[in-house]
Amino acid sequence: MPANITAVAHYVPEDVFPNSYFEDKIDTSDEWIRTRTGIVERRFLLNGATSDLIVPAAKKCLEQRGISPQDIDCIIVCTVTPDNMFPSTAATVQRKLGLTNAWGFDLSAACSGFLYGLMTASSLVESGR
Amino acid sequence: MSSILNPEDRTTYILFGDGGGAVLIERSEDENVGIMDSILKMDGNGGSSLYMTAGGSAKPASHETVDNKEHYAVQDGQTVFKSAVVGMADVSAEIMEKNHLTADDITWLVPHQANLRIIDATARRMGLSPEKVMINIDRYGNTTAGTIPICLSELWQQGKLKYGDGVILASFGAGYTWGSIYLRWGMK
Repeated sequence: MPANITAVAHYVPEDVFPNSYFEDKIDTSDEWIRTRTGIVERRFLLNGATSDLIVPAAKKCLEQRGISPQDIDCIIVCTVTPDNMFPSTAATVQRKLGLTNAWGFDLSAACSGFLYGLMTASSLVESGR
Repeated sequence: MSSILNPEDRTTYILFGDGGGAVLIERSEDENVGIMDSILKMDGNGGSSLYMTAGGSAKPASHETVDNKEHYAVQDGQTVFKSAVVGMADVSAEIMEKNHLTADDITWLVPHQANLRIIDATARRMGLSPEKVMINIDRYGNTTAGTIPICLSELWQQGKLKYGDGVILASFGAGYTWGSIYLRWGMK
C-alpha cells in the first residue's frame, strides 16, 4: 500500500506585515511588490523559533487523527532556519510534544524541503521498518 | 525565514515570510489513494545563486562575518527566476507524462509559493485552468518549505480536497532543489 497523508495542519504567526510596511525602510512600493511577486502581506515571527511554528501545527495533526504523541515513529523537520545548528530541531520538537517513541532528523532542501521530506517519509512508511 | 532576512536588502526582505505546516504520513488502507509518484531533482551549480555565506564550516561566524552581514540569505533573483520558471514547469509536465495524466485527472496543482509568474508558467505548461491552482502567496509570501503544507491545510480546511482527488505538488528552491509529487488525496 502507498504512503498517505492522514492529517494536515498549519500555523502562521499573528503579526501581519503589509507591503506598505517596507515603503519607508527600503526602496520599494506596494505596487511594485504586488505586480512582480503577487505578495500583498506576510507574517513575521517576532518572538520564538522555528519549532514554535511546528509544534502547534503538529499538535493539530495529532488531534485531527485522534492519536497520542507516543504513536509517532519518526519526525522529519524540513527547514533552512533550524532553532540551533545542533541539536536538530526534530529533537526539540520531540521534547516539546513528548513524542517519546520517535526518532527523527532535520532535512535541508530549502524551498523543496516539503517535497524531499514527503518522499523520505513515504519511503520510510512503505519500507515497513 | 525572517531570522536570516537582511532588512536592508530590497531583493529578499519583501519576498519571504514565516509559517509552518505539518502532515502525518501513514500507510494507506486503500491502494487508490496516497503518494503515487515523485520526481525529485538537484543541481548543485545553483548554489551560487541562492545561499547564506557564513555560519557554516566554510566560513564560521566571526565579528567580521557579522559586520559584513554575511548571515543573511542572498539571492540572484533573475537567475533563480529563470531557472525556476523552466525547472518547475518541466518537472510538473514530466510527472504528468510519466503517469499518463491529463489536465482532467488533476483537481489541484499545489505549487511552491515564490512568485505568481513561476506558478502561472507551471500551470500553463500542465494545461491547467487557473481555478485548479492553489494560491496564497498574497497572504503569506514565500515561507520556504512551509508553502505547500500550508496550502494543503487551507484547501482541506475549506473543504476543497475530496477523497481520491488528483493532486500535483511542485517546488523549486535553493540548491538548486526541485521536483514534483503526484498524489491521490486520501483523507475523508
